[in-house]
Amino acid sequence: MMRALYSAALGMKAQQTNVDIISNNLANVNTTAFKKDKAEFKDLLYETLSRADVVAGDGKPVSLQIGHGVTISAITKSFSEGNLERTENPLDLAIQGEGFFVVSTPNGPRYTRDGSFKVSNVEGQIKLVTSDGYPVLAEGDTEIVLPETAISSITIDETGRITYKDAEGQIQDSGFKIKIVRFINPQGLLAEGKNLYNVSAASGDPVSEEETEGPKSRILQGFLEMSNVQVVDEMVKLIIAQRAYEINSKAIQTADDMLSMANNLKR
Amino acid sequence: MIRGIYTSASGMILNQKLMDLTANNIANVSTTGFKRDIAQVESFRRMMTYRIYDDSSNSIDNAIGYMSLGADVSRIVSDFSQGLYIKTDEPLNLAIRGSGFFAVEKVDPQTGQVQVYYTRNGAFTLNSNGELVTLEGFRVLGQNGRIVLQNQGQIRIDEQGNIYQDGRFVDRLRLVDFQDKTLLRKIGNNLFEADVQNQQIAFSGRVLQGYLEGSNVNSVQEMVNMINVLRAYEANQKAFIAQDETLQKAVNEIARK
Repeated sequence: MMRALYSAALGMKAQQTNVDIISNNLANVNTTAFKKDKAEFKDLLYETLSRADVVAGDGKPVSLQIGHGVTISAITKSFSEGNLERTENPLDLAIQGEGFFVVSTPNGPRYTRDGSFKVSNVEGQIKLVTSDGYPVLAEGDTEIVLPETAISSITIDETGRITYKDAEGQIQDSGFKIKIVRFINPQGLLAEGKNLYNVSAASGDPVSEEETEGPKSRILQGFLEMSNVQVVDEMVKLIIAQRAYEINSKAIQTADDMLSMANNLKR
Repeated sequence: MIRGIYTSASGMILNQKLMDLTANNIANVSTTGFKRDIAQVESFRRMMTYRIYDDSSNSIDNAIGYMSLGADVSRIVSDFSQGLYIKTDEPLNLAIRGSGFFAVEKVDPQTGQVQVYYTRNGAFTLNSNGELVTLEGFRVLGQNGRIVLQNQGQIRIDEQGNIYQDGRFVDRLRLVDFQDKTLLRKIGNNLFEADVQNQQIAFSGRVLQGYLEGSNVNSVQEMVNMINVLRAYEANQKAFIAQDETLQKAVNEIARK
């Protein structure tokens, strides 16, 4: 049958995935620290109808090649920073820079930029946890345990060091410093949902900012990082995707019309 | 049988190929750095037709004239005109303004052979070794081979393709251009392959950081192409049927009288 049918169908399929991605971005426009995705397209194999033949004199200098449509080659995450929103809540933390918080889940450590932390009573100890109840890790991969009196007066500085005021109003060092890690290739991280990321072979292992040289992230207390989705951008992408889908469907119709004419040759 | 039937059929086959080409252009309307293909059509070689066994003719000049029986695609070339620029603000997204290509290397997993390809798709990223790669994992080449960046620090790439990290010069992108771009061959994955004969010339374009070059497929133009192709196909089909009907008359009606 006609290759055009398949090429155009692949075009529709790729645009469908594109719309799926855009919808997910729009759905997460209010998700704390959500990072938007973007579909990247690539062309598929080329069929050589006639090979280029550069024999002097006779022969064609250019081969006849017809492509086989398109596919989505990658879905990249944009780790650009979202807007910061002031919440006044002392347990809301935002990261300025390229770092990630480390949280401990039953399946092992996971990484997040969502700093809407809470305190929770876990087995009789007051711990700093995420909204889902996973303990946040400090340097040395320890969970952060706070005395009961600390909760109302907790202060977290730019480097993540946690201090609080004791009953006499004296500033005490809790001894915990929130762990911040970086990745060589954050785009390689696997998004697991719940604002959590897992490492993959592509992302490289997490590197603790504390233990390495180089620029450090800053922690901002009382702020949250918003989603970096721009509604206008996504709407524009949605319109383009819809029109691209439409013109591909037109190509299928045309190819089909041609086939029906070929069928009508014999009457 | 009637030669015209074959001529009409060759016209239909030609238009089918043109439709395949148009469909591929349309499918790649969102492909970064894609260059649309255009077909050039040529008629079959003309041939001289003679009268034969013509007793009345004593003349040596018994030629009827020339005929050409059909058409086919002679060349498919890529249109290297500029696509539109899309601002992404990603530091590792690069677009080329003007003529030229990024050089990337692909390593054959079986033989370990290294082959250099060219692309206008500048959607790059880092792999887990900190090397600058395409989204397919092909390494982007600099003047000194692979480009290794640290995992930390601001990356700045200027218009000449010099890469700086935290103000420190890392490498310069290998940017190439070709004397005859019609000799480049598409191999999929947004890559072009160059012949050894194809002479490289100095890169004259500029690199834009934070932008991607969109596909240069113009959907209006492709839509018009598609209508043209469809109507030409239809006309060939009509001609085919007319000739078939003539033939039918010859076969079924002449003998009856």
